[in-house]
Amino acid sequence: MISGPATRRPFARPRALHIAACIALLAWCALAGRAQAADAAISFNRVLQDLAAVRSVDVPFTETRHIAILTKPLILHGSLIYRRPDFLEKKVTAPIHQRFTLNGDRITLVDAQGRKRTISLDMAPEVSSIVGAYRALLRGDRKALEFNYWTKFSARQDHWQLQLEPKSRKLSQVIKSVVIDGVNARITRITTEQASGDRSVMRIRAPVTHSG
Amino acid sequence: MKPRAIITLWALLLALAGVFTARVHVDSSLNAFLPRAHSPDQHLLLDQLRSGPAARLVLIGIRGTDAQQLPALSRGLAAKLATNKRFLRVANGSAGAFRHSGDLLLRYRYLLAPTPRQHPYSAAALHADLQARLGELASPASAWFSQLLPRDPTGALQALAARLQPEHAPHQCGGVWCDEQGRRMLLLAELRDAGGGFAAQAQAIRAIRADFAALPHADSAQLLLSGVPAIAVNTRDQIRFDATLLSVLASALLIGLLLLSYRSVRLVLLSTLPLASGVIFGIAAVGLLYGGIGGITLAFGITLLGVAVDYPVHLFSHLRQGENAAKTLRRLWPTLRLGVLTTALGYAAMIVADFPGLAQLGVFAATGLLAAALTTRWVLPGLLADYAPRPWLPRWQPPARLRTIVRGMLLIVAAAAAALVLHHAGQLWQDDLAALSPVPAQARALDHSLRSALGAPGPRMLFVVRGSSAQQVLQRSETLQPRLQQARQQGLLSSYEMAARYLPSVRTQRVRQAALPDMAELRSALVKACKGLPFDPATFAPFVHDIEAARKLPPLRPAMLQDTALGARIAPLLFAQASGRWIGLVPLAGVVDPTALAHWYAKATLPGSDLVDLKQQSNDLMSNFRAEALQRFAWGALGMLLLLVAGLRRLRPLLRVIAPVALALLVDVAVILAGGSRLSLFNLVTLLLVAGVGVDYALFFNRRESDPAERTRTTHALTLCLLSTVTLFGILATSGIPVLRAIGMTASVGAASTFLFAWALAPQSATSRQAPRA
Repeated sequence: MISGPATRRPFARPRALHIAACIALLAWCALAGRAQAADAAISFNRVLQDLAAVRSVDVPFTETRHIAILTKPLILHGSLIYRRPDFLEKKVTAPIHQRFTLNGDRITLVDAQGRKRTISLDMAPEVSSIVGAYRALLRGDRKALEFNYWTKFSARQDHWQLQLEPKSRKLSQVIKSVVIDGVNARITRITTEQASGDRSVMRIRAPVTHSG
Repeated sequence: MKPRAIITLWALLLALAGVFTARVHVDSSLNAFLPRAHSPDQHLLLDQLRSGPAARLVLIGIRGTDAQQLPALSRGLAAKLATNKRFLRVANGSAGAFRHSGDLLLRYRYLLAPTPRQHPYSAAALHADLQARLGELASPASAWFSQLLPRDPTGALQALAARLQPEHAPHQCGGVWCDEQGRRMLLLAELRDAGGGFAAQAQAIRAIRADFAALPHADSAQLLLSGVPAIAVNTRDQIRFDATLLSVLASALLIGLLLLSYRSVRLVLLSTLPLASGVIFGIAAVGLLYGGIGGITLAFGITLLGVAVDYPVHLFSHLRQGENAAKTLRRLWPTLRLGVLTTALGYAAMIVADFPGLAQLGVFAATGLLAAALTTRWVLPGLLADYAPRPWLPRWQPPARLRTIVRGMLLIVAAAAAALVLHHAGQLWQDDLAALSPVPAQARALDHSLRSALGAPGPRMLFVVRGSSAQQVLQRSETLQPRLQQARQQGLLSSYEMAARYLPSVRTQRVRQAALPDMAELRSALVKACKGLPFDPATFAPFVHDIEAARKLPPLRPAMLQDTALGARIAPLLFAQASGRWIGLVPLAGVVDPTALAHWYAKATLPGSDLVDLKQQSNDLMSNFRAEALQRFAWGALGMLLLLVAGLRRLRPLLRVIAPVALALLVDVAVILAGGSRLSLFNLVTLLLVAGVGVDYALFFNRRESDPAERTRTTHALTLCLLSTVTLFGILATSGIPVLRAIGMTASVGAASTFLFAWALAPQSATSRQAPRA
């Protein structure tokens, strides 16, 4: 059945959308990191523990996308929102308006023209493994996280870095790596490398957190 | 003629008919029992029911205890079936139509995709397109978009792919279709229309089962099959099994009953002769006239011939010590003859019916009945020539008062039945076309649940677009399209589907082709379009190349889509009729008010496009059919009445025969209605049998008897007739198949009540009163 072209111009390959989307989600769920005052290098477990305690986050971001076919990088501004247990939203406000939401197991994308597209997470096994990983991260469940990703955590005093590389071949054909940087209490940067060579760097400013 | 000569002649004829019968083709489809169409729309409806793509769709469900295994089983089954030539397509949600015909769609995208902008390849339009693409690069799926962008800056492929996605896609579990709860995986398999009919369907269903059983871990899961082909195969198997089992059981009981009554193996064997001859001559007659016989006609026909079981019983029960069978029969013949002729005439009324199933049934039943009667009259006495009967009669006689009491009670029952029938007067008939199919309720429920989980409920309203060629239909559909958009804006419908949405007419494709710019023109437009955007015009070289290639493509036609996923999508929407004319179907969804829609379209109709309400058509079809069947039965009843008038001549005996039959039919109908069902074709045909049996009972109960012993013999015969009928059909009534149950119930209840009425309304002692002269 067809409903008019005005209401539907969806992504023709949902799986690609999901994988990319979930990578983005996975990246920013690390935002939930909280202040940690310690002289010694912070531990991976401590970071995970802090993530699990976060109730909600609302942070502004600036994302720079280096895409091969563009003559100059695409720069996006907007905000990231998280509410426990499983609501996540990426809102782009400039240069265009876009809203991307994950709520429970539904993914919703609202584009600049206000057209809405909703898809269930059940669409592909790879997607659920990505979502599973980000949920594991939010829960502070290291085991579940390491089930799908090779993780490398390093820290120097209050600076820490978490590198994630997909274990599955299917996933690694889309995503090469995700690197999450934190300074002291804050996630400062999420760098995503696509298998195609395209790269995105998302810088995050001071978060507004409410712990509980 | 001497008996021996008669028997020889009969044996010869029977052998001849038997040889012929063995060659008569038995058609196992239901087609002969689908009513005949009176309008082109009805014709279309029936065509679709018989052989449309919907009739070739197998719905597959996989259910199991281990939910983790199920998606793998779905993939495994789909992979196996995809290599099977019997199937046109197999879908389980893991790969969309897009990927299957991907190459074709990619090549033809600039001819197939809609062009919403005025001058789609001008610098301004391309600039706007590129801006939209930039927005997509900002989305989370930028990886995929950036890979596609050099080939498709206008987004034609996306627009095309969006069209190919079904609106009501089923849920997904582990990458394949499943139901809402995730308990069943869902697949669709469409059989190739390669002829071969039922046998081909049965092979395809077997192939699915075998492929599934061979999958790893298949034993932990259960395969559910539905859809028209699966239902046809399963139903036939089940009917065959039920019918075989029940008839073996019934025959054993019947033989036991006859052995007990006659204590003679010879008589029991002989008692099967009339029915067997009737069946063989009946098939031969239908085969001669129609070239073949429907399986359902045969089953119904044998049901109607159930009356013939009674004929030898009459003869055997009336045999006296020292009297030869020929003499006995001469005594009985006038009564028997009237009964046979009356019933045969009733059956024969169906012969002139306007649809083949009923007509065949009339020929079969009338011929078979006459053959059985003639066998009883002329053959059985010859075979009994040297038989010394040892009659045994029960001594017990019902007290005279019992009859009075029963009569009073029966009249009360009849009055109650009349009230009940009057109460149901408005909802007497089963007008659901689906009720014609002998499909068990369980299978129908499974079909319904799989169908709604797959999001494929049958649409009610559709446009039918007709034309002399596929192209004319496509062009007319394109003309209809703006009207449908308008109707959608007015809220008259929510969506529609048509072949022209996937495959535009050659004319439209040529228009789009003519608008494609040449290389130099496109390059300069791209340079201008990229101004102010972070794109390098050189990036779009693949796009320039593809446009140039599209300029030289021959337009895509339906025939070129054979064996592609796109072709499979279009096939049910655009097809040729046997007459060579083409039909396009435009199913509508979300029609809340069919009347308003019809009204809106009637204001300005388009040539060749008609709005059709399938439910209305199907209901019309059923009520036409019912009216016709009833008319036939009414003529039959009138014929029976006239024959009885001619045979009995006097009012009182006439009433004594007609009243019990009429009252018993009334009670029978009331029992069916009280059981919560409505009258269907199966009930009507069986009521005809009840009428035939009833006339026989009433005639014999009212027969002039020479002495009380003869009266006892008649009672013995009729009781045996009743017991055998109730045994035969009562066992049928225990079947799980609705048709068999309906026939069994109607016949056994009818036979019992017609017997009781005939007995209770018969004169106290036929010997003491003026008995009917037959």
